[in-house]
Amino acid sequence: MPIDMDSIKDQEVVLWDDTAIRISRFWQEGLLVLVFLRHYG
Amino acid sequence: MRRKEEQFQQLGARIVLVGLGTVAETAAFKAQFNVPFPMIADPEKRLFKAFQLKQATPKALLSVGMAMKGLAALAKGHGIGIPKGDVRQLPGVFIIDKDGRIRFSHFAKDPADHPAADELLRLLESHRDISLPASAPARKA
Repeated sequence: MPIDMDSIKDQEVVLWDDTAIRISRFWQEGLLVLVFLRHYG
Repeated sequence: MRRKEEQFQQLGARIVLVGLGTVAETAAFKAQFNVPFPMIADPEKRLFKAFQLKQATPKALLSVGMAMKGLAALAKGHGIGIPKGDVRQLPGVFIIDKDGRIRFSHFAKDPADHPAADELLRLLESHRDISLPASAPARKA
C-alpha cells in the first residue's frame, strides 16, 4: 500500500519544545530530509 | 549528519528528526547530544506508522549481526542506556520535496541500518533537479 501523503500532510506533530505544527510546514519551503530514529538509549 | 548540516543546507535541504520518546524525553535527548535539528516527539508512533516503518522481529534484534553492530557502536564511544521507546521499531529516512512527494526512502532492515550522511548528500547533489529515485510508492500530497 502506498504511503498516503495526502493524509500525512495535515498531521499535526508535537516538537521537542512542546509546540504543535502541521508536518507539511517542514517541506513547504524546500527539500526535507525526515529522519526517523530508533529508540533513545 | 550533524557535522554535515551546512552541506545539507547548501543543497537546499532541511533535516528534521522524529523520535519515539515523549516531548520531555525528546527535549532531553536534543539537549544532551546538542542536536541542531528540529525534533518531533512521536511516542505513539503515529508518524512511524503513517510512513509504514516496520518493527524488527525478536530474532533480528538478537542476531549475531546486531550484536556486532552494537559492539561497533560501543567501540565508537556510543554508550548503552535504558531504552526509551519501542526497541523493536525500525528507523528510516525519507526525502520529501516541496510538493509533498517522497523522492527517496530508506526502510531500515534492523535498528542500526541507516544511510550514511554522505550517501544522502550524494543523492541530493547528483539530483539537484529533485528527480531522486523513489524506492517506495507514494501519492502526491
